Order: sequence, then C-alpha cells, then structure tokens
Amino acid sequence: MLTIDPLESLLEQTRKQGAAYSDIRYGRIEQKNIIALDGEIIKENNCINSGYGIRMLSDGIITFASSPNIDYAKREIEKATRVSSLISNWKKGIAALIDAPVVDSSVIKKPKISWQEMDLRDNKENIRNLDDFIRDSLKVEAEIETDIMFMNWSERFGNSEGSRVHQEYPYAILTLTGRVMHNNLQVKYYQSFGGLGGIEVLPFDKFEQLTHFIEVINNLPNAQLVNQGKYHSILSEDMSWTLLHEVLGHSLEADNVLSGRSFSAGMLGLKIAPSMVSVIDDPYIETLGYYEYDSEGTKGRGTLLVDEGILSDFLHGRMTAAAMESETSANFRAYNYESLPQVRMSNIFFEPKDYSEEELFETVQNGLYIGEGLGGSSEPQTGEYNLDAQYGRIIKDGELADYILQFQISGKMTDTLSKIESISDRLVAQPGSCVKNNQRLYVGSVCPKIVVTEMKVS
Amino acid sequence: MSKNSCNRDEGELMYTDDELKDIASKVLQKAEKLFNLSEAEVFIQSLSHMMGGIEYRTPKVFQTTNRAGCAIRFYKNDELFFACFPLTSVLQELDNLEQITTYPIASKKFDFPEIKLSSSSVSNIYDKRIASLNEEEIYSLSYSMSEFEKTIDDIILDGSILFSLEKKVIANSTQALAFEKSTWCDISLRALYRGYDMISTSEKNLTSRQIPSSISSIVEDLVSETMQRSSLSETLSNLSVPIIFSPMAFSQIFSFSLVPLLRKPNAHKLSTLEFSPEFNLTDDGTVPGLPNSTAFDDEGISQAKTVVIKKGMLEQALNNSQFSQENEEKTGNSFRAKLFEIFPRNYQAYPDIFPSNLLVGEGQESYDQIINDVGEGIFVNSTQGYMTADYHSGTFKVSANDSYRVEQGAVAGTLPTFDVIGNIFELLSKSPRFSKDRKVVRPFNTPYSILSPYVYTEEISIFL
Repeated sequence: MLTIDPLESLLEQTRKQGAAYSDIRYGRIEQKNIIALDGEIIKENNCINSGYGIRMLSDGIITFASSPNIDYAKREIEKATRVSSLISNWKKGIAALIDAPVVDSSVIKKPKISWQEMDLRDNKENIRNLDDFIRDSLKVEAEIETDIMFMNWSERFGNSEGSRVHQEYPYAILTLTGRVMHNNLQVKYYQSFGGLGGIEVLPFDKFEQLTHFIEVINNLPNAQLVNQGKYHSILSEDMSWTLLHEVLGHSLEADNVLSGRSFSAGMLGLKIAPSMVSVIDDPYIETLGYYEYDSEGTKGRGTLLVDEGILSDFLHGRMTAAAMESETSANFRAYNYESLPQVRMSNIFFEPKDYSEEELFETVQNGLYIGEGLGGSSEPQTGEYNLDAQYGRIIKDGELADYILQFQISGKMTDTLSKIESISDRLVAQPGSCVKNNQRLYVGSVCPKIVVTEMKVS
Repeated sequence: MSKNSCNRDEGELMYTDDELKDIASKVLQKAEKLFNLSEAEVFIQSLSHMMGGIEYRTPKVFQTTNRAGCAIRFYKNDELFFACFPLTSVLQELDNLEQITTYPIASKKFDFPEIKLSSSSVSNIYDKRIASLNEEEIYSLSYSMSEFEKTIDDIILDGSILFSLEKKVIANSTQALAFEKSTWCDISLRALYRGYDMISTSEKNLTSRQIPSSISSIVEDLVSETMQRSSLSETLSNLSVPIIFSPMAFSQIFSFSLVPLLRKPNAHKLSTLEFSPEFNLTDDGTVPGLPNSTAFDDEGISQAKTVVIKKGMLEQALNNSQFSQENEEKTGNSFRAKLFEIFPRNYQAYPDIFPSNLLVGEGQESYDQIINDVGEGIFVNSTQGYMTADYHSGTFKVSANDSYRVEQGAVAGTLPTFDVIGNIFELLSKSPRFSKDRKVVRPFNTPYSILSPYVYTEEISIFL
C-alpha cells in the first residue's frame, strides 16, 4: 500500500483550504539530561517529543497550530482557515513574505561518538574521572555539580512554494557548577563546555579545559567585594557576548524593531560605534548556534550588522523583511515544532581585531577584568542595561591580580559602544542560550575580549 | 455566534476524558507486564491552548498549541527511573524503556501514594465558557485589547490572551486513577506611550481560572499607569528612605529569595531564622478561584492548606512523596513545571516541590494608611528582568523600573530605573508592615501564585 508522507498530506490540506501560504515543520527531539553531584549521578531525565507545527497565511492573518497528532493537526488547519475568514474585516498588520528561493536539501550532522551508542558505564566513569581530576586540583572545600545534556534534534520542513528541507543536529553540553563558602555565604561559579556534536565535544579527555574553572573556584573564597565606580575594563569573551547579545543584538531583531522594542530603530546607516567595531551574526560557526536552514526553509548566511561602526542591517525572517522592504537573513527560528518561530540570533559576535591578549592588558594597565556573564536585564527602548558578572579580577600593572566577587555592570549601550577601545584577535565559543517571549533557544556564545575605557561597576 | 464558527467542545479535543484514562491504564499495565515492574506511576497531560494576539505593525496572530504526553516513573530492582514520551507513540516507545533509562535517580525508596480521588473536587477551576470558546470569540476578546489605540494618540498596545484547557491523569501501582480538568486564562499586555518628553512602558500579566469580567478595564488601568509614568518624571535624590513594595514587586523578590527554602530539603535553613511575628505564610491549593488550586497535585495527593510560617516561626515545610518521611503528612506540593515557558505545567519535567498558592498574611493597616504615614519614601510598583538572588544568604538585587516618590503621605512623581539591594531575611525580621489589601500575582517564570500584601520596609538599599 502506498503511504502518503504526513507532511505532504498536511500541505495538501492547507492548499485545499485556500491558504495563500503555508509551511509545516515536523520535529522530533530525543534528549537525555544527567545530573551528578561530586561525581555520582543523582538524576536522569529522558524525553522524546515529536509533532507538527503549521503556519498559514490567509487574508492577511497569520495562524499557527501545533499538534503531536496528525489527525488533530488536520482539524487545526480547518480551524485556522475559519479564523482567517471570520476576521478578514479587522485591522491587520503587515502580513506578507519576501520572496525566497525554493530549496530541496538535506543536512545531517552526525556525532563522532553518539551518546546513544556508547557504553553508558563509560559515561559514568567519565563523570567520575572528571570529578576526580577537579578534586585533585582543588585547594578549597567545594561542592561540584555536573549537568550533562545530550540531544538529537531533527526537523523536516515543507512549504506551499515547494521547498523541502531535512535537518538533523546532535548536541552535547556539560555544565560544571562549583559552590564554595565565602564568609559564611555560599557563592558559586559555573562554566559550560561542548556544543554541536556528541561525546567528543565534552571535556572528558581534555582536562586541560578545566583549568580556568578550577582556578576560579580556588580563588572565590578569598575574593573581595567590588569597589563601586567606573573602571577601564577588559570584558571576557562571554561577558562581551552577553553585552552584545542581550542589549545590541536583541535591538537588531527586526520583529523587535517593528514592534517598538528597539533603541536601534531609525539608526540604520548611522554611526553607532568606533570604526574598529563590526558586528556579525553567523550560523555557520559550529557551536550550539549552528544551522544551515532556518525554520522557514531559508538558507542561512552571515549578516554584517555593524560595518566599521555603522549600523548596516537588521536580522530578518521573510515577514519582517517584507515589512521593512529588506531581504531575509534566515534568522526566523523556533526551538521545536510547538512554537511559532521568531527572529533570533545565531552566533553574534564582535569581529576580532589585531590585538593579542597581552596587548589588551598592556593597554589597560590598571583596571578591571570582567569574568563570565550571569544574566541581566535591559530596557529595549533605551538600550540601558544591568548585567551581572560571575566574578572579576583587578588588573594591576598590566597583570591579572586579586579576585572580585559577583558584581554588576550597567550603562547605556550607545554610550558603551562609543567607549570600545580595542578588540582581541581570538574568538572563543561556548554554549549559550536565549529566552525571547518565553521561548528558549540554544545559541552560540562566541566573542573576542573587548576593552571598554569606562565601565560602570557596582 | 457566526454560523461559520466552531464550538470547541470536549469532543473536539485530541483525546476524550475516557481515552486518556484508558491510555493511562494501558501504559501502566504494559510497563508492569513487560518489565515485571511492581511499582510504577504514569502521568498524562493533554493540553490545549488557544491564543489571540495583537502586535503593533506586525500581523495579528492566532495560535493553537496542543500537547499530549506521558511521563512514567518506576522502580526496577529498587532503583528509580524516569522517562517521558508523546502520547501518540508511548505504547510503542515503551518497548525501549529499559534502553532509554540508563541511570537511576538518587532517592530514598518511597511508595507512590495511594490515590483517593477519582475526579476533581475543587470548584471554580474549570470554566465551561473557556472550554467551549470558539475562534471568533477568542479573537474578539484579544482584539478588544487594542481598542484604546484608536482613542489615544501615541499609545501602542500589544500582548496576548491565552486560554488553556488541561486534562491530567495519574495512575500508579496502587491501582487507583486520578483525573482532573482545569481551565486558565492568561493575559499579557504591554503599553508603550510616547509622551511629552519620554517614552514609557508598562506591562500586566494576569492569570485566572475564568474569563475576567472586564478586559477593557484591565487595559484602561494599564494605559492610565503608562501615561502617568511619562508625565511625572523626577530624579531620585535621597536614597535613605523607606520603601513600599507593591504585591507584584514583593512577590518577585519573595519568589527568588525565599520560596526555594519552603521545600522540604532546604527548609532546615528556615528553622534557624526568626522572622517578625507579623509574618505569616500559608500554602493553600484548595482556595476556589486562585490560579493554582487543584484537587490533587501531580502525584495524585489531595491538595491541602499548609501553614508554613506562623508568627515568624517555621511550622511545616512543603513536601512530596520523594522528600517526606514515611509517616509524615503529605502537603500535596508535587508539580511538574518547566520554567521559562508561558504555561510552565509540563509533563516532561520531573516532579518537584513547588508551592500552589502562597498566602502572605495580611496586616492591620490599609495600603492608604501605610502611605499616609510616610513623610518621604519610595513606592516600587514593579521590577524588571533578570534578578540576582541567593536563598542561602537571603540577599537579592533587582532593578525597579516602575517606581514613584512618596511625599507627605501621597504618591508623587515617577522615578527613573534604579537598583534595589537587600536581604529578605532582614526585611522579614525587622518590623515589616503588611497591608490589609492583598493582590494575587503569578511571579514571572513560576508555576505558582502569591497572594501578597503591600510591604513597607526600612531595610533596603538603593543604588542609582
């Protein structure tokens, strides 16, 4: 008996219902999360999730339905069609899609060592060995938590214009959290490893990658409180990325620009930073932010967002590109089939420049090194931000000196951009994640170090 | 009602009540038979959302999201395992259960609870109107939120109204089965006003089990707040003044800096603290109409009223089957929740201890009386974004983005965003004043609600 592909069957139904445009994503995610405390596994969560996400455009109305069940998905298509006809006389937004090439492609990334194929006793031993190595190097009492996430992500995409895309990506992330006491208060530091791939991207056979984590944990119990003020600062790669992603990056997402949530709206073509500053979003760097096609089947490409200090572009999907008479940059993405995609960053970073790390410290001489980011908040309309750093270090005579406990940096992004003095020559990639409108998405935390002449610290 | 519209009645959902119960029983039986399991628990969630949205200059969006999944927790050789699957394929995927679950969960051995209820016994958690709303009605309600845009220049409104119908089934090896269905209405609304000399924004996030009687009054309040903020801008000069937190602002701080200590494994810290005798805290999942009242928790234990803190002293911590002693009374606080989701209840999450509805005890004075007593102070209405909090030490730091100067007993001008730094243990120990008036808040990214008073304190630092 001939079996009809459910994806084709759903697309056929949207055509019959008269949708001007439709796309269907069938996604399946297989995930295993493991938590270990001091080397012993204490928790495991296994999850398989699959289903259909259906986007339709009819009479200027966007509808989106998701369902794990094919029969119910068909009923949702009928419902969506009725909605569009019912409300066709109401005020509409801008609802059109910019043209995009029709594609037929399959991208399958295989891990070198799959978590599903490895002997899980080895994995247990890996975790123990990793913990033993850390313990042997620690000079302080610390609780060490190891969180591991393995994921196989796959999605099939089809749209009414004829595009068909199949993508499969494996991910592996390991996060170490160390908790130590500081004057009877518990303080912590965490660092993540891994990204696109399987067991081979985790530090199980690369213990040298743990040196930085161990060093920070060893020094936190004696770290000082920060003296509030303005500092000549070097931002670590992760903090540079946190600042860029959270404050400038989100303001360059065209859906935020259109909905009044961006201080960058109206600044296209204007000088917003010194000429040394260029900002790029590139999905082809092999991190958690890697993808070849976005969630509307458009081939990914790098986007030059800030070109030698001049704001040159926004990030787009096909809809925002139509609304702003631009081109899609293939940044319309959702984590899984359950969510309507939004404009999202992939790997956003400051373009590296010619300064070695030593030169950055020579430039600053006396100031503050700002360690990895912890999170923060920003006012999208104004670009004002408050970001937390997990730790810091005094820079004295061009060298790293005493450790500083968790503190906050704040400012206004346009002002901070104008104070970027130099950018290092090396990109460092780590796993990152981003939450936008209650949708979490894994992204790459990729950036070089930057020097800011005056950073407000509290 | 239009002839074209479609009623969303029970028959139109993915699974009927009986189908869900039937699948739960079959999954349990198959698991027990295949793997000779004698102790297993099956949790099924069928969830249907319908959402209408308004968004400035981008298309009007209508979304329906359907989720149906099954989580299974079981003992094999006295070791505890956990896995979850889509409901469409759970009976097939179960064949691979032993290959999928590899590492046991570290836990003392506990019994899955005896399920005593067969159906919902809490009123006001299921609104037939929500369950049967059609697309036209939902779109009409969401569209009504933007009506103010037509009447006031320079006001932009966007947001969404989300209606949810959840059915859950719990079955375990005690051979009993619990079933419940509930409805929710979540309104998220943002107003942006380009006023005389500044842009101001305000947000409202409301959760209820029924459709609010007047959506237009919610919008009206928000618009008025937003416009007021843009016209009364002032600078902050004196930083050593008392602060009055709104229920919304206090709940955000409270949820990050104290709520984690209410869980059984962490509560020993609370027993070492002595709060003000004015501070009382109750968890109550049985109050009709409160956002997280249910007949039973996600392990099938009947919901209860638990006095957690009485006159400043710890009475009882919240627990679940895994984290309670054998003969200890169960408080019914096991919930499956994924944070950072618009609707956090999710079968994919391992059951953990969360409050249901936290009731912070009210004081003797009204909000107006407290404000009247203040010569100079600050009223913090809401906080913004990410918050730094450490429940081990009680310290917290958060940005106050909607605050007002209080002068001679009256709320005066709007203040710019500033940081509030404090310690929740000290705040609740050193003569806090709680108002008689309380409001229900669902703190951002949490699966529970807090009924909170306005809180006056002199134990907070401000940093510009």
